[in-house]
Amino acid sequence: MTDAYSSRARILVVDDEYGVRSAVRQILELEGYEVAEAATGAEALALLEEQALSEEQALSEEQAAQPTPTQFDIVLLDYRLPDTDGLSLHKEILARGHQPMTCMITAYADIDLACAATFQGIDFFLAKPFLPDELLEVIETLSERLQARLEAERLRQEHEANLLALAEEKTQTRLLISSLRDAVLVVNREGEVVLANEAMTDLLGTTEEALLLRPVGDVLRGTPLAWLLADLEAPRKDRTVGQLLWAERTFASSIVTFRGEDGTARGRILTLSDITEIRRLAMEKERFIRTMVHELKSPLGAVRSLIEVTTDKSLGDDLDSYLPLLRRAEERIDGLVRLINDLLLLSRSEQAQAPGEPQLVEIPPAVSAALAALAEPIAARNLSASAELEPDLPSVLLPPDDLDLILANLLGNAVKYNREGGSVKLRGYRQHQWVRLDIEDTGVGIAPENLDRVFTEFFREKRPETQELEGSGLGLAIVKRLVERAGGRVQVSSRQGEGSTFTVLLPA
Amino acid sequence: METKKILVVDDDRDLVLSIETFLRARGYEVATAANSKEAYERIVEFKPHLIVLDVMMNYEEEGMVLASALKTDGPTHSIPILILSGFTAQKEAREKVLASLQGQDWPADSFMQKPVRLAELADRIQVLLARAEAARTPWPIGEPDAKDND
Repeated sequence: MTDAYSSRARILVVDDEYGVRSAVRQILELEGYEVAEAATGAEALALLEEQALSEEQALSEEQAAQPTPTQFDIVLLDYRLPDTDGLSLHKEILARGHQPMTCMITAYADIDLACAATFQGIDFFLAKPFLPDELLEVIETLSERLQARLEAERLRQEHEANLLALAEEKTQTRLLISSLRDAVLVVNREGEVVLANEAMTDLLGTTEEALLLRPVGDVLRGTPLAWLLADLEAPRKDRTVGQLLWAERTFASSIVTFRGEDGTARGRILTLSDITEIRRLAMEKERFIRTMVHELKSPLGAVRSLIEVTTDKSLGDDLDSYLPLLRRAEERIDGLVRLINDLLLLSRSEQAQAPGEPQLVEIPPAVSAALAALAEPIAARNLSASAELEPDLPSVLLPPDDLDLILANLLGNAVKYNREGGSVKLRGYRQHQWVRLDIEDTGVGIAPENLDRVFTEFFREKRPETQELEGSGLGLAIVKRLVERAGGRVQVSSRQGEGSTFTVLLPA
Repeated sequence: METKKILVVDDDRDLVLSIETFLRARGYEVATAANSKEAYERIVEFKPHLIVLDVMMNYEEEGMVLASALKTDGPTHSIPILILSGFTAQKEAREKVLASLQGQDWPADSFMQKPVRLAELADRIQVLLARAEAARTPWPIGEPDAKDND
């Protein structure tokens, strides 16, 4: 593992006979081993402790917190020592946390001692007298065993770390799956449920424990998922997708076969994604496009017919008789151009970020300008128009064009849908953190059931009073988006036949 | 030959005016209606030989509802109806009408997609009237001498 162990082993010789000690030392040092001597058990223990201490000092602070490394790799122990015996010393060495390889050296070679020594964990047994080669052989064997032991320890640690990582990964995966918004059900090769996340158990109205290891057929029969059973139990393909309705929600289903490294099917994963909202948006978009196409085609069709009557000379050769028809064609084309402009505005108002830099805009000049632009229709229909703005009304933060559009649309509607001789009132005041604008008219009003639909694109109330009025049906949808983009809100209240009040709240 | 009477039902007044003018120039007598209610009134008083009907008026299905009501209601069931469909897919309108009439046969040539060419509309009206004539379905039932009045 480390370089320390690839170099020659460090050896401690514990023997009360000086001759034995020095002989051993000489033999081993010749072979490149590092050797220390101890004559007694106490000396041996002191040396072991000393070495441990000096190594600790050599270590940096954070390393010091780690377990003490083996100071001597091999300890050669005499059985007979002045202060103790070899077995007791060995016990003491182990008790102090040292784990060297050990070899008992004794002149009293008998089987009982050998047994006791081995039983206690002494690694080797060497009988005195011994030849230098015998000693070297023992040391080499012990060195090898030590290496093997260290390698085994390293592998064990690595394995443990792997297991830990695996367990952690498993926990993480579970956590991930359980927190998914999608409902997940995993079935093993035998068709038993092995995992169901919370979204799935919520749908099935049960707990994961109640599902585990139950045949998937039992679990799904009688639920809206029953038709997926064939694909879960015996799939024809590795991946099948579908759509289903469950509890008034639409789900996209997907069944995927997962395989082991050898390619055999291990089981199947069923996921259900709630696509209700996506579907609603898709349908909304489809409806919008259909309506838009209709709104674009109608004026084109009308213009086409008006022209065809003219080219057909249905009214004879006098050109003047076609003028009313051609004027209508012009008006329809103008309407079409307005509609296209409004569509562009709507599309622009849909962008989350306003194209222009928001600025602090003063409200009074914007209101005056909007009313001035409507002076002609106001006069033509004998309307009285007034604006009451609280003094020191705070400015609002939005692109100036947006405020102009909001006011033009709301005041424009108040004029357009008003009765002859009616009134348009705009009041502006501060309300809590908002600047509030009320735009009140005395017009035809809106049916209660249509109040929340007036901000929908192309929605127009079809009423005899308003049938002749031109309009794209997009004005209020644009207003709503512009106000909301500025962080505000728009509301409407109305009494049919008496008038409507549109309220805009913009952050002050 | 008697003057044929055509009722044009559509909520686009410019289109109605054009069709009316165009058909009058071709010798038809024309009445108009902007919604189902007006259409019923005109049918009773005007007794049309053919109805040109927009499927999408005040609400999407209004024309459809009117068409199926006329086709199942005794005295009006033999009046040919030429349906103007605003839908992008003409097939869709046809299927809707067929579904609402539950199995009744509805000739494929009774549908025209908007915007229509008035010349084609006039041609189609002629075809439908000729076919109705051939099938001898005089209007109104119970007034066999209607023809003699012209």
